Amino acid sequence: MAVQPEEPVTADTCPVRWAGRQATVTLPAEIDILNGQLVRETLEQVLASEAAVVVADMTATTFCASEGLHILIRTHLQAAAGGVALRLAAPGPVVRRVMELTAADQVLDIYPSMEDALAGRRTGTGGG
Amino acid sequence: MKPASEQVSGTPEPAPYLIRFSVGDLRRVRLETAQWAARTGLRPERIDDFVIAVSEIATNAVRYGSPEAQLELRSGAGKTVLAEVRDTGRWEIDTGPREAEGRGRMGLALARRVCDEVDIRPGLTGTTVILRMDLAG
Repeated sequence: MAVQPEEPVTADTCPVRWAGRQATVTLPAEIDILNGQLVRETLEQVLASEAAVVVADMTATTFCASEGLHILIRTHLQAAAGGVALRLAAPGPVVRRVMELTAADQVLDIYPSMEDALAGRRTGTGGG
Repeated sequence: MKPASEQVSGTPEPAPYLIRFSVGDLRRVRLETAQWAARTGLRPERIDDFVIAVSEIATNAVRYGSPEAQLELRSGAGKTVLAEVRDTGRWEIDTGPREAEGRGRMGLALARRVCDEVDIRPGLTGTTVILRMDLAG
């Protein structure tokens, strides 16, 4: 097969890496109704696998529809109920915008970088 | 009145954009909406907001309205940008078991938050939603 001319929309994956009980889930470039179920199921499986900390790597995530926010909020609450931290790392500016507009950023734990998320280090809170 | 060819160069209005789409086309809808909006004079952050709003309303149309819907983007007299999403369903009236999902309510709230006007026209043959964003906003 030759190189694909465009990234196929069906190529969504959510790879999971484990380090002890810390799981890192890499989220897709766009989260919407096309791949929402995959994202939800992946996060739920990680929670069911007794993760203590889940870092969602959103470094490459440039768009998150309200469908994606529903999933992230629901998973966050589910995780919190079980004493698990769900940390969202480095979402892109449009994703941050959607989170602000919906006040989802008041609920979710958002970190500016993967390093901060992995370390659980909140930086810039209240900074201007 | 000037003919289009005499418009000030650099600020021509983009031609209307029309696409019929289904769920699998939503990403292309976002991409092409962003490309179209970039030629309207909307500020960059408003372009993002416009794409967010169009994406949400287009998603609702094919999720709750009909499997295929139509999007038309057009500029209004150099002062506004309009996005008209038309489906052939009755998603506002037909409340089903998906109440827990909010039936697109968050998406609609998002569109209302960022647009200057959201006009919803339910009809017997479908639902039309018109989003308006003012260039001066």
